[in-house]
Amino acid sequence: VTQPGVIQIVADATPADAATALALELRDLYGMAGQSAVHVIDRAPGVLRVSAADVIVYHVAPVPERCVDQLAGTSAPIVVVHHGAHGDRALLEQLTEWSTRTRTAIGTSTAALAELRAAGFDAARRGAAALDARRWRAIEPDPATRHHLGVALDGPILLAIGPFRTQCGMERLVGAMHIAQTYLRASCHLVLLGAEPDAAYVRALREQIRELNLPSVHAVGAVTAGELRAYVDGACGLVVPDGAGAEAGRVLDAMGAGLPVVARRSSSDLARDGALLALPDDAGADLYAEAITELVSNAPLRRELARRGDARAAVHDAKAAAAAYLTAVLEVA
Amino acid sequence: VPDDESASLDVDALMNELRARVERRRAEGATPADVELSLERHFARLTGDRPEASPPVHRELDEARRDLARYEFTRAAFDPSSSVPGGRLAHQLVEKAVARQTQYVLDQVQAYAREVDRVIDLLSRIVTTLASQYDTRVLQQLDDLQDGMAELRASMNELRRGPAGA
Repeated sequence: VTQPGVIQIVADATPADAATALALELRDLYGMAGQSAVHVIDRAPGVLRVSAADVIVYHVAPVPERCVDQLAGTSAPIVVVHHGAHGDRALLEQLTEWSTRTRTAIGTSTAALAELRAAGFDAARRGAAALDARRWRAIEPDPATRHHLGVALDGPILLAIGPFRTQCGMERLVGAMHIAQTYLRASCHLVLLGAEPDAAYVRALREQIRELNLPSVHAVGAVTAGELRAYVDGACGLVVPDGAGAEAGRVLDAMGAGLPVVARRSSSDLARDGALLALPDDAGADLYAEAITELVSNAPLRRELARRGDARAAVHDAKAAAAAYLTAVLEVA
Repeated sequence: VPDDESASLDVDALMNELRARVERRRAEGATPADVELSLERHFARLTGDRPEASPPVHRELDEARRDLARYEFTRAAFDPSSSVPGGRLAHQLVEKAVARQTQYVLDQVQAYAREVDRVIDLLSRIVTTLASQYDTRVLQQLDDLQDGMAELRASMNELRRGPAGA
């Protein structure tokens, strides 16, 4: 950005990640008023070119402190966007530190808003998923991935989307697949898609899959938008464990693409009106296993969830949802 | 959910039914009562602290040790310059006056440094040998053991699952 503008900071960007998608949507929105850019931080600190006249929108993520040292040290005004910590103490501590740096914060879910307020952001506000609910449909599916799914995976396919890091709860889904296949005789595939920023966690997840002998669970990793669309087309449902981050956006994406969703009730405000198979917040691997088994074996249930989800996505107003993000920037600018 | 009833699908009622199924299976012993706890413990073991390899600094250690061995204490490093008029001459006179004592101290320090260098050399050889053994043998054996355990667990789970479709 050569002129003052809005710089959004995102960690571990990937097309499948709703936090990344939100940042890209907001980039266009902020771009209507001036300069707008998205800066991606990874595991190592990068060089951030920012002036005091810029406004920084930081999508808080559990990255090492050194990655955000420079960010914390700038004199530019900052808006914090929080997608939920889900018990990650380090992230909650990071939030508390940010509350001494800025007062302006947005929580993308009811749970995220509560965490912001507990961290000291007394005036935090709620921001819905400012996403085009039909955006996945606009993506051209990758032909190679589509072909691969057609010949390599026999049976229903469920998707789970990262990024995969500690507290994302994917191990619960792997455990659920173990129960579903060992005790409930379910036959389906679970495909794990998304960035893998936490190498130790991903290694443990792959080890878990191997030790439980689950060849039907596929840890694919990061995918392109076209590959993601091919997986969505070939899948019969999206399963969201707790704490995967930015669930609301991912659930909305799936609904807009006509994909039935299984998620914990608190992970998304979209759980209202029976638009998704909402599990109680204390749902463990065994209840996930029952829900997965029911979803893959019950075609009418899938059709009805897809229909309701599609109807819910149809009334989603991305522009209205974006208003909170625009107001926050105008306040601090 | 039959097709004609799908429009009236009550997700909450379905969820209650799924929970009841979980309880029923547990009560009947169709699923182990502690399966969740067992899965949690299993994953906790996988995420537990793993031994790290030694830091890859052997070359830097060698170079630093060579620099240390080459280091010479010398009076030539003495800088007599001064901002005070005549100061330079005064410094040079003092240096000349105490040259013998200074050289004596420098010789002792040099001898001491040689002993220190010898100790560090011996220590670094021991540490390098240990690190090499640890990296190439101990860690590899641990990995092999874990691989073996993983294969055993996978086989046990396969046996528990029984023939496909049974």
